[in-house]
Parts: sequence; C-alpha cells; structure tokens
Amino acid sequence: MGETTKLKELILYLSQRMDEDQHVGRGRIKLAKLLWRCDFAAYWRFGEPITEAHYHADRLGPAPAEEMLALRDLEGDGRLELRNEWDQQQIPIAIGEPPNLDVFSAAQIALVDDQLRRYQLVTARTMVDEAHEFPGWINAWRKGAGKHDPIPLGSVFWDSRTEIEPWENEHARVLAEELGISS
Amino acid sequence: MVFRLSVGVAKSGRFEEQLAQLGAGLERLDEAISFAEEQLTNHPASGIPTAVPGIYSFPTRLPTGNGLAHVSIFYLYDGKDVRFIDLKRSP
Repeated sequence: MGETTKLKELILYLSQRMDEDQHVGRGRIKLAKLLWRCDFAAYWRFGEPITEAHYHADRLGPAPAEEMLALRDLEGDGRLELRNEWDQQQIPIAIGEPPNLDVFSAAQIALVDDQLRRYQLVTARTMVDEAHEFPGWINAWRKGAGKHDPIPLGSVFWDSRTEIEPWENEHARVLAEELGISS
Repeated sequence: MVFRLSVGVAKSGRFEEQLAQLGAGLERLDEAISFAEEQLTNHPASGIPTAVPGIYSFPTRLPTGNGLAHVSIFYLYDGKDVRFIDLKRSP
C-alpha cells in the first residue's frame, strides 16, 4: 500500500457520499474538515487514525498536510474531478474507479458513515467555526503565529472548556490540605 | 512522593495509584496522559488554574464502552516544574 493510499480512498469515499447524499456546502473545505473529524474521532475511539495523514494548523482549522498532493494524484489518475460551481467553491466529485473500501475496517467505515450523517446538513462555515474551538488547533495556530504547525492526534483528548468547575476547586483544596500547600 | 520522571513531568505516588484504578475502566487513558505530559512539558500553564494557587486542572475527555468520560488531571506548577498530583473523573 502506498504512503497515502488510505487518505486517497477516504477522499474519494467522502466525495462520493457528499455528492450522493447532497451534503450542504460539499466543497473542498468541508472535505478537509470531514477528514480531520474522521481521523481524530478514530484516534479517540480506536487509538489510531484512519489515514496516514498528518494534520497541521491552517487558517480554516486542522487540515491534512498531504491533502493537496493526494487530490492532484487522484485528478491525474482520473478518479477525481474538482468542479467549479456557481459560488466558486471547488466541489470534489469522485469519477472513474470507485473508492476501494477494502483498505478500511468495518469499524472505520461505520465511524466515517456516522460523521457523514452528522454533518450532512451542516455547512462548511459551521464546521470551520467548530474547528476553531478545537484546543489542538487553538494551541498550534496561536493567532496565526503557528501557521502549518503540527496538530498532534492526542489533542483530541483535550477538553475544550476553559473554566474551572466547582468540584475541581473543591478537590484542589483537599489536595492542598493533604500536601500542606497553603491556599 | 515523586518517584518517576517522564518527559519533564513528575508524577506523585497518589497520581500513579489513581491512574491504575481509573485505567481499568477507561479507554485511551494512557494516550491522554502521554498527550498531557507532552503538552505540559512544552506549555506548563496549559491547564486551568484552580482556586488554589499553583494547582491546575488539565481537563480531558475519554471514550468509555458506552459514551464519554471527563477526567481532570490535577498538577502542581510552581513556575518551573510540573508534577502530576492526582487524577479524578468528573462526578
């Protein structure tokens, strides 16, 4: 299997399904956000991502660093077309040889299908807004200073909340007393 | 008592005990701890300050067999060193 085989097949599968299911805002931005969602959700659930992609901080959220080359290869192989539509958003359309789902496990496909269902009626803009709340991206992006900095898969475990909860303060006081720390 | 150093983050005995107890019922806990170690080694103040100066909470979200669990990693940061002191699941 090539270095980006799974990434390419997942791009094709997502493109095919976004088209068949008439996803809202089914352009390249939504494709990148779905790839991020699928890989990080798989790491969260199974301990490993679906594709070989590495994610970095882009203005629009986490993006697979290898996506551009994978798209170019798929276009060159006659398996994908980037169609320009009325709103100038490029729409990825799977053509020619269908995606090879044999490279994925049943659990991975089920997870991808779940993400597709969840975001079918969600715009790319909303997905970008959600991505901007992802701690892994916030930490890597650093208000633009970290453009293209890597986003570790483990950041999916990081809870996005920024406010302390009452039980945490209470537990901190207990710990302080036990450890002899003055509060 | 500090008995293990790992990528710049020390862990107390209490933390290790809690890790062993919680680990039995939670998935991906080891990966989440590894990420927290890496993150706090590079950015020690990434957690949320508690009401006790010097004690922070690093909140994580983990999968369980039937959903999601919130687990907070409590650590001490004195401006220089990070020490994991406790681990607690959200009540």
